[in-house]
Amino acid sequence: MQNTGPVVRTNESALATNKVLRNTYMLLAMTLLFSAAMAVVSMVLNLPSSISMVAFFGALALVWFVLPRVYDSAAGIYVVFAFTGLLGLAIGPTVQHYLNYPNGSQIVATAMGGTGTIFLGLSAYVLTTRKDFSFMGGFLFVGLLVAIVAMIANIFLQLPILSIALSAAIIMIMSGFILYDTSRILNGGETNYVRATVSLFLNIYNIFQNLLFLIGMGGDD
Amino acid sequence: MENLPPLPMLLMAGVFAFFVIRALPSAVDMLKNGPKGSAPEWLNAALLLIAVAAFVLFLMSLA
Repeated sequence: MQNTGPVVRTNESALATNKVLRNTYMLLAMTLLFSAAMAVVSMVLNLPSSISMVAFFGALALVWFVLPRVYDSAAGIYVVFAFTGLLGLAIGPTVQHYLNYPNGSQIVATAMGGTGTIFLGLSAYVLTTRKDFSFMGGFLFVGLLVAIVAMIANIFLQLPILSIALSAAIIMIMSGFILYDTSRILNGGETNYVRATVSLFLNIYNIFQNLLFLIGMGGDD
Repeated sequence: MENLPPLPMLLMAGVFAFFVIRALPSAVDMLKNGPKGSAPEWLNAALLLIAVAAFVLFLMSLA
């Protein structure tokens, strides 16, 4: 009798990875649509920025304190929708602000298209080459914390040039995280599709928000 | 007092500071004990990020 153990295990592992990948992209698509719908609701209702701030803090509370407890249960999916919906509500006033510019719809459309292109391009690269980008994890994580410290400093300093540099840095860091997160799913480092969805959603959300700021600078009279 | 940012921004600064303090030990641990990339791997990643930067500059020039 031939020993087919490793082959069977490899096939099972590949199937499991494909399943995580498929579920992640499906949930990511649904949460992006839901978040966009909530952003539209926020704009239609003309929610004040204070509500947007509350929604942002609510989303942070969910992702820090609630999601880690429910990642492995069905409730995790509901919490992910609540989290992405709150972030959609939070970004609504910002999008509305740019839409009020003379070429506002072009700015928002360019930011959306740019975000989609960056995400699809980097994901396609990882999925086709199957390269492992796990070595970037520590560098990206520390880079993100340094960027956040600079953001805290800029709340007090209010330097426009630092805001621009930070937005550019965050787009780079989040692009790196797309490579890192996608390669983790592909190489079996991430087996929970809810957690994978949250990571990729945050990458896309941050790229969109900062791209909107950078592109919007050109359209600001 | 009038040079201070508004309260929501101060609150946000506090929340961000909390996140940094909370995440710093695991970030340092990841940096020290995580997988290390070779020079060609870093070059590959850097080229991809440079391509992203060039694309962002192109988008900014459109606005």
